[in-house]
Amino acid sequence: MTEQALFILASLALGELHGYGIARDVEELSGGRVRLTAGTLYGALNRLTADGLVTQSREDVVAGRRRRYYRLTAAGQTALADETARLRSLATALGSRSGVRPNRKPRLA
Amino acid sequence: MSARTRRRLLALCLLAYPRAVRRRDGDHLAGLAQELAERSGVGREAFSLVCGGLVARAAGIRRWALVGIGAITVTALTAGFVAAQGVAVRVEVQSCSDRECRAVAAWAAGLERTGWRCDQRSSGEDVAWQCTRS
Repeated sequence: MTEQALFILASLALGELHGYGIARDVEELSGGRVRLTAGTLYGALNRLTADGLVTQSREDVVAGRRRRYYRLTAAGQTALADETARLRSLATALGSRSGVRPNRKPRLA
Repeated sequence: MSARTRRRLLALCLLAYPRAVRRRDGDHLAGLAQELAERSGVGREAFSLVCGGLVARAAGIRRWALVGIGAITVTALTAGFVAAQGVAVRVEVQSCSDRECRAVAAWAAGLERTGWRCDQRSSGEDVAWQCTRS
């Protein structure tokens, strides 16, 4: 799963959101590191919908603009939990080595 | 850039998407791009729409290419199978000696009436009939 897709799932974890809301939430959640554009967000949402992780819930018109709302499916919640657990375990494994000074002697050829 | 110009530019970039996508999601996508353009700039959104549209078109072409290749493969396999059936040669051989040869000759004559071609080959006292049908 891509980082963008994971952030989109995470932003929908609190409830349904429209595309613009997702983009704003992802930017905030990632500390400004992930900034989704319309093309990227649309493609990612389509893929997540096709995979059954996200579903469209409703549409409305705000200030003459059509907004489509999305929400997480049960499979999406599971995928988010699995991916988070995987990343946590990865971070634990890698974290145990970061900042550690090497104490092995170099092997002689 | 005025809101109207921005809207027109984004609508123009939206043309990069296949018509089916524009018909289905065009309004939603245009609205989303306009909202995001107010925050992140119209250039970035315009570029993303063009890229996204081209990717969507490429995916459509790839899908059609796969369907085309599949159809050609199935046609080729079917044609090959039919051709193989058409050129298949069936061979029947009967050999005989002396009196038995009457029966074998009658058998060969019977086959010839149904489209077979039979050749008689003699080797000493033995006679062999080889009948072929293609």
